[in-house]
Amino acid sequence: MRKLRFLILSFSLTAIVLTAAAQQRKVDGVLKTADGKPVAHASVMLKHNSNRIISFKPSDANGQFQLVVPDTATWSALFIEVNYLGYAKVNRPLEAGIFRYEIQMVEKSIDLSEIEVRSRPRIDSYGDTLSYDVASFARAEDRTIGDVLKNMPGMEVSESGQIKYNDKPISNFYIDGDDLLSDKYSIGTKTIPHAMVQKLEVLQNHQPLKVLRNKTLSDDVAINLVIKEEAKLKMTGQAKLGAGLPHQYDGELNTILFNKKYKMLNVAKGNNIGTDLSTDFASLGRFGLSGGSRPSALLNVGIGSPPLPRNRYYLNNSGSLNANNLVNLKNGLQLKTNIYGWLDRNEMEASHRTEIFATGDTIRYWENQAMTKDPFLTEVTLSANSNKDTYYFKNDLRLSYRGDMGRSSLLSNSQDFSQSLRSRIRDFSNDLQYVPQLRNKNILNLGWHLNHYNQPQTLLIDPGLNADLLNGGEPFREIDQFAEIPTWYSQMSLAYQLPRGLIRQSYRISSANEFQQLNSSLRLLQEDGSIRPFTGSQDNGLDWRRNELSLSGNYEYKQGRIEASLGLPLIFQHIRYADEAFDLDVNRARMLFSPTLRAKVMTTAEDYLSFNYRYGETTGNINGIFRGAVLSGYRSLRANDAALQESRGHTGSLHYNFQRSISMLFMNAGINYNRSIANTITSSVMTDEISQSVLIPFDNDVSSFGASAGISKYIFALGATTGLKGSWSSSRSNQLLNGESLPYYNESWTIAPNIEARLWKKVSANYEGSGTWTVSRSAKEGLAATSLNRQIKRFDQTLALSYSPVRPLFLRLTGRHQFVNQPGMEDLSYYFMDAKVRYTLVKYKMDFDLDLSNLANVRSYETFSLTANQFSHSHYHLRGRMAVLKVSFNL
Amino acid sequence: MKIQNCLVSATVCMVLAVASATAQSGQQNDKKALIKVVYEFIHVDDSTQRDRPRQEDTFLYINSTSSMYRRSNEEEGEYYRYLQGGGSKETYNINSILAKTSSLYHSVPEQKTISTERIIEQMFQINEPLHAIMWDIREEQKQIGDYLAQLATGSFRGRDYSVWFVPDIPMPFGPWKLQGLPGLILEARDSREDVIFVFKSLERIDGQVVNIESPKGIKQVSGAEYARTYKAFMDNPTAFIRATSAPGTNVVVGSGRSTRAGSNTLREKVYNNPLELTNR
Repeated sequence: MRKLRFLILSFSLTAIVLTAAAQQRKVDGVLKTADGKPVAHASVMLKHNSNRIISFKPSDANGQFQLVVPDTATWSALFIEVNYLGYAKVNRPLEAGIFRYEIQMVEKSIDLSEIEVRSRPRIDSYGDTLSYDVASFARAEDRTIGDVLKNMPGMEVSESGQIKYNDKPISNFYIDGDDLLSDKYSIGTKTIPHAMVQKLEVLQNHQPLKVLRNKTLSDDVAINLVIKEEAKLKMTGQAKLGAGLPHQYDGELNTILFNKKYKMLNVAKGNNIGTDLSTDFASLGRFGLSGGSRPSALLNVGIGSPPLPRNRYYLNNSGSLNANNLVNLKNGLQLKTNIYGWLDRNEMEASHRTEIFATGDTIRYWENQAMTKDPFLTEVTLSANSNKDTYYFKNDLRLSYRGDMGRSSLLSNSQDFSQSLRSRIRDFSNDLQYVPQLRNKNILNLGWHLNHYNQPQTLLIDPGLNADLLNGGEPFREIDQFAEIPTWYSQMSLAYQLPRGLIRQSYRISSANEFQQLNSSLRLLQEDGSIRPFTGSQDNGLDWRRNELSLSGNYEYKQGRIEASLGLPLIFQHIRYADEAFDLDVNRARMLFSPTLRAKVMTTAEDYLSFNYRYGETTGNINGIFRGAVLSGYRSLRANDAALQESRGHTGSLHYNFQRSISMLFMNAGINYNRSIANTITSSVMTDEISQSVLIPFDNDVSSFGASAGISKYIFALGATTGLKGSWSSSRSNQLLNGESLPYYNESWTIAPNIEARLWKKVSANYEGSGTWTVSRSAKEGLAATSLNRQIKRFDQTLALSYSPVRPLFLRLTGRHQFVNQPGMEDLSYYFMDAKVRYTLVKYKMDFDLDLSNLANVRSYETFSLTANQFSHSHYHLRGRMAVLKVSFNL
Repeated sequence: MKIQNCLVSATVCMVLAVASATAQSGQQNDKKALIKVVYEFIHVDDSTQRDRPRQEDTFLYINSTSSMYRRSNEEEGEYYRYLQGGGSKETYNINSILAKTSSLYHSVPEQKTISTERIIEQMFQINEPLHAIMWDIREEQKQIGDYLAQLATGSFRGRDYSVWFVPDIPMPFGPWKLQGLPGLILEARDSREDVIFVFKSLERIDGQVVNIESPKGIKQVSGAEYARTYKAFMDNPTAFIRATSAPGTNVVVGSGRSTRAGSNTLREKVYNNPLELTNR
C-alpha cells in the first residue's frame, strides 16, 4: 500500500517536472557505432564554447540520450561532446533548428596517455618524521634531488648548497639511512637524480647514535633520501659533455650505486664555464670535525668578490674528483672512504676605492689588482663505524694537503708592483669515539681527537713598498714575509650518562692539550742583492702551550610537552707562552665557566617554542699575542702589545617553529641577543699607504640584537610554493683608529619574497627577490655626521619564465635585476639575462641543453660595501656572453 | 519472501551481468583496473569532537565501466599479513584479498552497486541498484593539481555534497558512493564539512593486474539488515564475536582506549554522526 502511494506520488512529481521542463529546450539523439550497434552508458555532455559543461546525461541501454538546454544559453555557442573510453572523442556543435543528433562513435583502443598522471604534492607526518613525496613535487624540467628540494615548502637550498628546513641548517644528509657524504653533501644534491628517490624524509629531533636515541635530547634536523626499490638494483651513471663559445667546455661523469650493502657516488668534473667545483668540498653540516684547533692564516691577500653568483665572474679552468664509497659489513661495521681532489686556475681583476672615516680625517686609498690563483686540494677520509642499539663506535682518519699560489699585479695609489702568496696546508686528524651501554643501562662515552695542522705561507712583494716605514726610507727591491703556526692538538674525553629518571644526568671529564709555535720572518731584499731583516721588529719565534682540564655536568628534563637541558662546564686552563727575542715568558692559569641552558615547549604536536641561553668565558689565541711585526698583506702590518685576550659574553635566543605538514604551511620566527666584553681591541694606525694594527688593552664591549621571521606555504589552487622571509639586526661595535675610540652602530633590514608557480598548464614562473637596507652611523657625538652616517639600499630580483610547448622541449628565460642606492652616489642598476633550451630524447633518456648566459654581455660591475666606519666602492670584471651546448645521457 | 526476492533479483542481475560481459567481451578486459586514485578521507564521526575526525587514505580503482573502492588499511593490512605469513612482495596477489576485505563495487553496464562489508571476520554483501544521484552541474571551475575540475552539487543519503569532477578523465566514478558525473570526482565535501574527500594522487596501473569485481559467495543482506547487525555488534562486541566465532574461542575485548603517550586526555568517541544519515 505504502509502495503504491509512493509510486503515485513519484509519478505525479515526474509529471510536474516534465511540465516544467517543457518550457526548456531539449535536444535528443542516439549514439551508434558504424555498424549500427548502440553505445550504452556513455556520458553525453552539453558544453559551452568556454569548455564548461552545461548539462549531461548518460546514454541508455539503446544508446538514446536527451539533454536539457537552458533558456539562457546561446544555441550557437553550444556543442555536444561524448568522451567515452574505448571510443574516439566526438564533438558536434548544435545547429539551429535541429533537435535530434545521431552521433556515430568510432571504436578506439583505450589510450590512457591522454590522461596526465600526476599526484597532488603531499607531505606525510609521522611523529618526528615528515616525508615529502618526491615525485609529486618534481617538475618536468627537474633532474636532480636538489632541483626538487627547491620546490618543497619548508625547504631552502642556499647558493652554497646548504639545506635548511624551516630556517634550520640540517645536521646530516642520509642516503637510505647511511651517511655516505658526511658534511660535504652538496655533491649529493647536485648529482643524485630525483627519479631514484621515493621520499625525502625530514627527521626532527634527530640523534644519529642509536645507543643514545630516546636517552638524550636533540634538536637537530636531518634529511634522509629513501631510495626506490628498483633503483637499488644496479649501478647507474651519467655522462655530460658540453662545449661552447668562446672556447668553453664542461664535462661530468658520475657513477651511482645505492644498495643496502654498498653505496657509492663517484663524480669527475671539469669545466671552464665558471662553475666553481670547490663548493662540492665545502663542509655544510652543522658539525665539522670537532676541535677548534686550526689557527687562522696570518697572511692574506684577498681581492674581494662581488655580490653575484660566482659563475658570473669566475674565470676558471678546473677539474675535480669526488669519490665516496661505503660498505656495510654483515657484523654491522660500516667502512667508508671519501676521496677528494681539485685543481684550479682562476683569474680575476678588480679595483677598489676604500674610505675609512676617522674624526676629522678620511683615509682614502685605491687599488687595482689583477690576480691569478692556482689552488688545489687533495683529501682522503677513512672511516669505520658501528652504530648499534648497545654501542657506537667510530674512527675517522683524515689526511689533507691543500694549497694555493696567488700572483697579482697591483696598482695602488699610483704605485705599480706585484705580490704573490704561496700557501700550503698539511692537515692530519683522527677522531675516535666509543659509546657503549653498560650492563646497568648507563652509557659511557669515550672520545679522542688528534690533529696536526700547519700552513706555511710566503708573501713576496716586488718592488719594496713603504720604504719609509720598512727600510729607513731607502728604496729596496723586494719584501719577503714568511709565517707559519705548526700545531698539535689533542682532546680526550670520558663521559658517564645516566639516561633514566626524571632528570637525565651526564658527567664528563676531558682534557685538551695544544702545542703551537708561531714563526715568522720579514726580510727585505736590497738593491745591491743583500738581504736585510726588517729593523722595526724582531722575528717571531713564539712557543705556545695550552693545557685544559674540564669537568662538566649536564642535566636534561623531559616531561610531556616540556624539555630542558642545562650544562655546567668548569674548565681549568693553563697557558704558557714564551718568545726569547721579546723577553716574553708568561704563565697563566684561569678558571672558566660557560653554562648553557636550553628549553623547549611543544605548544601543539607540530609547533614549538625554544629558548637558548649561554654565558661564555673565552681566552684568546696565539694570533693575538705575537710581538714581532707581520706584514699580512701589502698594506697592513700587524703586531700585538697586549696580554692574552679574555672575554666573556652572553648569548640568548628565542625561537618559534610552526608547521602544518598536511596543509604545507611552515613558519618560524626568532629573536637573538649577543653581548661580549673583551679586554683587548685592535688599534689601527692608518695612512693612505699602510695600516698598522696592534692589539692593545681596552674594555671592548660589543653587542648585537636581531629578529627574523619566515613563512613558506604551498598554495594548492595555484600549484605554487611561496615564501617570505624578513629580518632585522642591529649591532654596536668599537673601532680604535688613529688613537681614538669610535663606537659604531650598524642596522640592517632584509625582506625576501619568493614564489614558484604554474601560470598555465605549460608555463611556469619563478620569482625571487631580496631587499636590504643597511645603515651605519657613529654613536659618538660631534663626528662629521655627513661623512659617517651612511646608508645603502640594495634590491636583487630574479624572474624566470619556463615554457614547455611539447613534452620533450623546455625553454627558460631568466632575468635578474640588481639595484643599489647610496645617497650622494649614482644609483647602480644591472640587468642580467640568461636563457636555456632543453630537448629530451625520451627514448634514449638523453638531454640536450643549450645554455646562453649573460645575453646582455654585462662585463663590468660596480658595487658598494659598508662596514662600520669603512666604505668601499669596488669594480669587477665579469664573464661575458657565453653559449654552451651540453649532452647528458645515462650510462 | 525476502530471500525469494533477493534470489530473483540476483538471478536477474547475474543474467544481466553475463549479458553485458558477453556484449563487451570483444572490447576490453572489463575487469582490469586502469587507474588507481588515492583520496584522503576525513569524517567527523563524533560531532562533539570535531577536532578529532577519522582520517585515512582510501583507494579507488577504475576502468571505463566499473569502479572498486577500498580503505587503504583494509588493503595494506592484508598485504602485511601475507608478508608475515612468509610471503613476498613478488608473489603477492592483490586480487586474492577480495573475499576477506570490505569494498564497494560500482558497475555501469550492470547498473548496480555492491557493498561488501566486514565485521571482524564476518562478511556481508548488500546488492543495490546503481544510485542515481541528481547532480546539478554548476559553472564554477577550479584547478586541482594539474586537472581542471568543475563543480557539481547533489544530495545523497541525507547530506548535500559539493563535488569537483574532471571531464578530461571521462570515467563516471568517484570516492565512496559518489559517482555518476561525466568525469572522475577528485574532491567532495558535504555542506557541514563532516565528510570530506580530498584528492591525493592518481596513477596508471601497469604491471600488476588489479581486477575490479565484487567477491562471490558472500551472505547477501539488505541495507537495513546490515545496519541492524552492525548496531548489534557496536552495542556488545564481545557477545557478537562469541556468537559468530567457533566454539571455545577465547574473546578478550579491550576498552578501545588509546594507550598512546600524551593521549590520556582524549575522550572516547561517540559515533553519533554516520556517513549516511538517511537511506536515500
